[in-house]
Amino acid sequence: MITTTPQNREAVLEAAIERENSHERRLKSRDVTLAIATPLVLLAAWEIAAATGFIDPRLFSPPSAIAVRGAEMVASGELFGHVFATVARLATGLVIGAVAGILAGLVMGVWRPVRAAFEPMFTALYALPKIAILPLLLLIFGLTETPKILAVVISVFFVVQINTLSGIIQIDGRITEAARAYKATGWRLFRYVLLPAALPAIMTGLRVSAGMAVIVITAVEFVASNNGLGYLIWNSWQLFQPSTMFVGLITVSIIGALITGAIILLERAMLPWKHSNQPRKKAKTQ
Amino acid sequence: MSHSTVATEVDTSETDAFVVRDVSKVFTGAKRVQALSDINLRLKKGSFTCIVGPSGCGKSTLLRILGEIETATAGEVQHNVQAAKVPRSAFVFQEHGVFPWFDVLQNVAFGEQMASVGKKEREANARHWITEVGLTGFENSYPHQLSGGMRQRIAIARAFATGSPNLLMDEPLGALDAQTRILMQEQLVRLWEAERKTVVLVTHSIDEALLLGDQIVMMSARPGRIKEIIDVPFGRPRNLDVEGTAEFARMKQEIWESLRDEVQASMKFA
Repeated sequence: MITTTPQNREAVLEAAIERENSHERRLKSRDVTLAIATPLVLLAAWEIAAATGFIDPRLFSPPSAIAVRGAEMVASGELFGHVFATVARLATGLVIGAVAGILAGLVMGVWRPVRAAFEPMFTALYALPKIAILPLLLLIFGLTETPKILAVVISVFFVVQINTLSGIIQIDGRITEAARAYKATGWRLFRYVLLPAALPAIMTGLRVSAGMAVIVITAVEFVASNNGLGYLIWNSWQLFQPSTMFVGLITVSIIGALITGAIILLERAMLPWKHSNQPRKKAKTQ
Repeated sequence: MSHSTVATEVDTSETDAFVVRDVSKVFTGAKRVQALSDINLRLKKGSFTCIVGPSGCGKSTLLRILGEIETATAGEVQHNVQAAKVPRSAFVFQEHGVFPWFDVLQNVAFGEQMASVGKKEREANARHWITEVGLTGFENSYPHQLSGGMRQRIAIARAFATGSPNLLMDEPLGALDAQTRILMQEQLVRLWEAERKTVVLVTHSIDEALLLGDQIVMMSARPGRIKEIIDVPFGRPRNLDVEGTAEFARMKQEIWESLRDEVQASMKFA
């Protein structure tokens, strides 16, 4: 038994805390190792299975072949052309659809007659699978960029509009009452209360719609395009080039992940009060 | 115990902040609810009034009508304070009244911001009130980073910083733990004694009403009527010590006796 002097009591406590901390650090580094190792092991298994003929390498190109094909396509600039075409359509459609959706949702949220006029119709249109109107758009606009971008715009618009509107509708009555008590009206009510209160829902709408936009543009490029990643994937099926197809699939996934990541970053910047555990800016102390 | 009569005569004295005449309130919805019935009340400028009564008796509704964020179905409220740039009445709500997207400084300055007071001026004033309620150092923290007691102090600082002559509080300390509540009651007494605004405070706590108020308005179960108005005899400056006096215990007992029937009546609605 150790005799407890204030000094060694302190030391015993420190040692216990250190043990606790180092245990926590070990668990964390194990988590990271597992997260990285699991896909690597699976890729290795895939490679071995393809090499030994356990799976048909003509259908499941081994990772090494995909990497080689990817490098060729990057070097030749072929991949870049497809990426550029897809990203241009995605970005244009996302921006137009999001801006229109946010504006429509906000106007419907604050102005009752507009909401009464459009909400039932928009709710009905929301149920329509947006890709189903592509033929109509092609009929109207021909095989140009317009119907491809419009398909993205339309699918983004409805998701963002509905989320924005519900963001306004769901504002806590106690918040609007406080705003009313302090005589917030008109533009100020909108700018300092309604908009910030609806912003989390708007950001959710953006995140969901970005995922949908990637699906829609890929599907559109399957059938109505002769460039872009959707075209690349579809065409490599017809030409029976599985490694090219895998390169396309991986690239589309990366683009989807990057867009979602960008929106998460935007969300953090727009909603510091939701995420921050630190003061907004360094508090001036004096 | 002294009982003041409810004023019914029409003349209005300049010394009254609010004159409430025959106010009734009916909520129409799926079911009609008469919340208030024939309320007559005069509140002197600079007085501290506490409203107590059973749940659902319309005390919050009366407060909202006084503060002009709810309208009376019948009757009228006369305000003897000119509405200037700032609202006549500043509110403190029970909870969720502070804006989560603003930091402490922006929240406290909100009332003056809505009154078009310049940024420099309103922020200087907000900093003053942040100091008064003891939140110095948290100017740039968001409400969710603070405790419930600190959030209510934001709401109290905002109400004072707005500069309104009337202060209307709806169970401002209701959601706080007992210890924090005691500290904040003392803080409220101190701030009010320094500022002498006309305060109306709705509370469930008889102790709180006796500790803070000059007079206590007791309301009946729904439809809310004024049952009795009691003058609180304790002098100012006042502190928690009054709670230990025999007079305090006696008055608390009397108020509870009177309210008990109403609380029981209100249980039928619950």
